[in-house]
Amino acid sequence: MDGAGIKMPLDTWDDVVAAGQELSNADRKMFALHDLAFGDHYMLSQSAGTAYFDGSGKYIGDNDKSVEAMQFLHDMVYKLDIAGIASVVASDNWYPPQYRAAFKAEKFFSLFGPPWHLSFLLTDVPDQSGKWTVQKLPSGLGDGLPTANFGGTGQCITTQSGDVDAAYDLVRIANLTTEGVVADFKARTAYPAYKPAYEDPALQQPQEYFGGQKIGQIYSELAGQLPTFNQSPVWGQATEALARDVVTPVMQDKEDARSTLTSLADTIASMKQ
Amino acid sequence: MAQTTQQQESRGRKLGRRRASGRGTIAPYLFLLPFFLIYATFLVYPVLAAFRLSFFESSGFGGDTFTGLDNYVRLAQDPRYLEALKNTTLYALASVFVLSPLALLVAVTIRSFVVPTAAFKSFYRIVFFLPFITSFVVIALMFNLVFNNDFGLLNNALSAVGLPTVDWLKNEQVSLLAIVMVGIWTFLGINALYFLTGLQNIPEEVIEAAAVDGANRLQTFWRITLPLLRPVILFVIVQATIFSYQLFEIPFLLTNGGPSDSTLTLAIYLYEVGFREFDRGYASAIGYSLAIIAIVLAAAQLLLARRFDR
Repeated sequence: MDGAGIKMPLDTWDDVVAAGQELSNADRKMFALHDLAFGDHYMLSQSAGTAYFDGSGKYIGDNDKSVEAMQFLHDMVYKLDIAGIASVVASDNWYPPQYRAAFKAEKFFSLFGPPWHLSFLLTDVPDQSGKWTVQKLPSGLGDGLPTANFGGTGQCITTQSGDVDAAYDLVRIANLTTEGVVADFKARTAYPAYKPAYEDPALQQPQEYFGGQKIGQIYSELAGQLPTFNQSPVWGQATEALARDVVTPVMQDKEDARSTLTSLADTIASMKQ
Repeated sequence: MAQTTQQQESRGRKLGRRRASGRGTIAPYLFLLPFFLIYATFLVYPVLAAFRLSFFESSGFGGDTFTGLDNYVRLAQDPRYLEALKNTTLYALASVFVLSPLALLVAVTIRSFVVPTAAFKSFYRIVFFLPFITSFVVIALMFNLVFNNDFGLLNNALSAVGLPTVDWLKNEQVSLLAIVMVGIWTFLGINALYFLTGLQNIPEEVIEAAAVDGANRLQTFWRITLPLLRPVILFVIVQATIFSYQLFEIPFLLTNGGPSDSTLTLAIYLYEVGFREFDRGYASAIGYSLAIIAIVLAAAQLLLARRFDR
């Protein structure tokens, strides 16, 4: 980026496309987009200002913003020529060794993803230390929200539990105390969802890998702007169907974004609640 | 003293008779008991329980609700089940019409003059059999590399001879073909071994008699070898059909049933419904449908073979 005179951060998706077209060629692309997983669309559709379900759990993933996000992902590969398809396998459809090796070989030079996604750079691509920076999501796609959610851990205590109070204490200490969430951040770079922890010094340290950037500070500033997550009883099945019936055919240039996202409504409606 | 010896001999004979007839002792039953207990606990009970469950709505942590034949009716209306049925049937057809003839060809070749010495014959037997005793996980790891789009062996070979490459495991038009290829690689050896055993049991005199009567090698194969191999052919086809309908590990590890369900098999779908969606009643119905299909097809093949025998 520096060599090509591209100024970081990139404020809009137009800037991203321009930078991508400047630096991409037959052997090197800006992004490695996924065709077996729903994460890329999940993040961009949130940034565009929409979700898969509304507050009452009804599927709304076929709206214009969601279609725009899916279409943009498709176009980055097939029209704008700034992205390739990520080398993934069925057993790991997000970042298997092949995917990591492609970044190490500099076949891709940028990515958008959650904090836990970045952790592979530190472990698998150590020689690019100091060359990466973190920024908020660019604007220009739908509502252009600067951040999005991808992942998260859900915990529940079943009615069969022998000691509900003890089980809740464990959940509380791990998730609702600064000490618990910071320990998790240190163990697996998962950025806390517990807001009081954002000011903890452990999250404010400059990161050598990211050129001394205080990435925790960036996350802390953006965390308050995370879009609301609407849950659904069929979330797991629905997102699997989304990957299967929308992302794969669209990202393999076989079907179009609008019709697949629209027909997904019937599939989700037929799922058992 | 003599009387005591006679009494002991007499008692010994009685005991021997009793032992020989097995009457009056429960020892044999006790020895057999562990097997029957394990068999009843881990096979008979789950089979019966699953049959009962297939008539119930049973999901999550809640109780079961009787729903009659609803789960079986749902099968006919479930597009994913029908896709899985289609994929599994295509794989079974490939097993019967591609794998089995290839295995016969390998067996005939190993047994023929093409492989000249006994040492070579043993070597080829082992080489073809090795994939069958290789772990499915190892096979999947290996073929993930073979089929890799960017640096896989197969695509490199294709581009070396000027042919277009294809993303074998992510292109839904060829992914099932890739699974069939792995299936053939894995199961060719064991099926060839069945045919080899059958070929070895054909009396040499019959082959020699055919040669004396003027039959050439091809005529001998069609008119003598193949008809005499019929029981083995039947066995290979029936077991290939049954095992094809149980296909799970290879597509699960290589493609997880994808992309877009193009390699989804009945067994993978059963696993998804039962162990990821926890819809146990429907999963049981899928399991029973799978068993019924395998039984019906095997019975049809046996009946067909009997008709040919007549």
